[in-house]
Amino acid sequence: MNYNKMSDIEKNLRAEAKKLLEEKKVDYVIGYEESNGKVSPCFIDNAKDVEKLVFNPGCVHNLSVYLLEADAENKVGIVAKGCDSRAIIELIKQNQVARDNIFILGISCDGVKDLLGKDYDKCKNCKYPVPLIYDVLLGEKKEGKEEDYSDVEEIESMSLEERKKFWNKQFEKCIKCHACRNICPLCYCEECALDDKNWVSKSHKFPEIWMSHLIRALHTAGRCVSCGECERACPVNIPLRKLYRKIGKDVKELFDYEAGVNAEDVPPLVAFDLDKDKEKIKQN
Amino acid sequence: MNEEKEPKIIGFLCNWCSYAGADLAGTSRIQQPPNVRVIRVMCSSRIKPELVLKAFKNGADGVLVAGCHPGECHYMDGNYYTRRRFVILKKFLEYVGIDPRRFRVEWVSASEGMKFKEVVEGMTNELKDLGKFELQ
Repeated sequence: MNYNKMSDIEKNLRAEAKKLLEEKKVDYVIGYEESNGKVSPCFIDNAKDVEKLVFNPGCVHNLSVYLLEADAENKVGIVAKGCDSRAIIELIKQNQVARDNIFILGISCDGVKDLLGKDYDKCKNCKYPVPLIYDVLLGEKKEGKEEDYSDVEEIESMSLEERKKFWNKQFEKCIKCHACRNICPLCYCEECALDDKNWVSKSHKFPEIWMSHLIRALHTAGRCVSCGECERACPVNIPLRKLYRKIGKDVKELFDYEAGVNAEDVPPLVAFDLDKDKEKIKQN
Repeated sequence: MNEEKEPKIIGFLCNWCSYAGADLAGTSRIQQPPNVRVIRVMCSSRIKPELVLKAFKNGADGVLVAGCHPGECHYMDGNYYTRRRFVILKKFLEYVGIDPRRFRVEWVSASEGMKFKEVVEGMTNELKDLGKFELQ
């Protein structure tokens, strides 16, 4: 990792943020700060505070989740890596955020690392290191890697029985803290099916826990951008990204659709294509 | 019939085609296994994945969703959405270890009493081979 380049990004980021706040183009900037030796999200509403802003390999959080909390009249500046930008596109597409209300400080990302200094899974095969939407880009443009679904294929190659055992073991660990839902930028429903006792009770035992994980997975269909925040937030390390990426893979194969790439696309499950669907979908 | 051993199938049938098809099978006195518990819905696209999951959670051995043939939906395009939604669900159920034969989407029109019988019969026999569904 080239830290010099990183600090260049940091310097430019502070300058851009300062300009935005001084010119009152935004009410506040959502970025990263360092506190207690850790990187955490921060909100800067005063040009004097921009020196707090950092960008380094610890900046893993997908800040777009905070866009949902902004008031409709607020103008917000947001720091976004490639993966985060896809969530922003998805939020624009689904009318959760108005494009005119946000100023995107896009960062060409070299990958982020966990507290042990290891690369996150999402970074190992990152297809979009450069944000797909931005108002200014910090850092140089670079090529992404090929899409790689080997993690999903590994599970697909197991037998039915093995898969059931594998997932049930994972689900059993769940303590139902709902962190996966709360951290997800695309989980914006005001009334969530997981809070509705007609679908699932509060129990964290079978079969309720099975039900709530499957409901959440199916609700991410066609919108999950694989930012991996659910998996990072999970206190018991359930490989949620592997679960949701299966649906992403199917959606890609069947409907030729990728979430968070183009704000003009129509979400795949509220659309249809007569000829292609007939050919590709053979039920049973 | 031995309630314990017989597979339980929850059938979501669309009001305009499949329910009428099932009705036709009945009025024509076509003999068929009594394993399907029918829930009538206005359109197959009304079924959300949660409903299918809930059926499995509450002890169904199989779930059948039946609607009008693509192109013949009473509401013009409802079943095109159904088609997309459930191909995803089916693949996903398989991914978490549920036999895909336990979940079927079929197109049965109002005049296809015979087809309805074949679907029910086929599914019941398959589920008998598969045995009871167990989540864990």
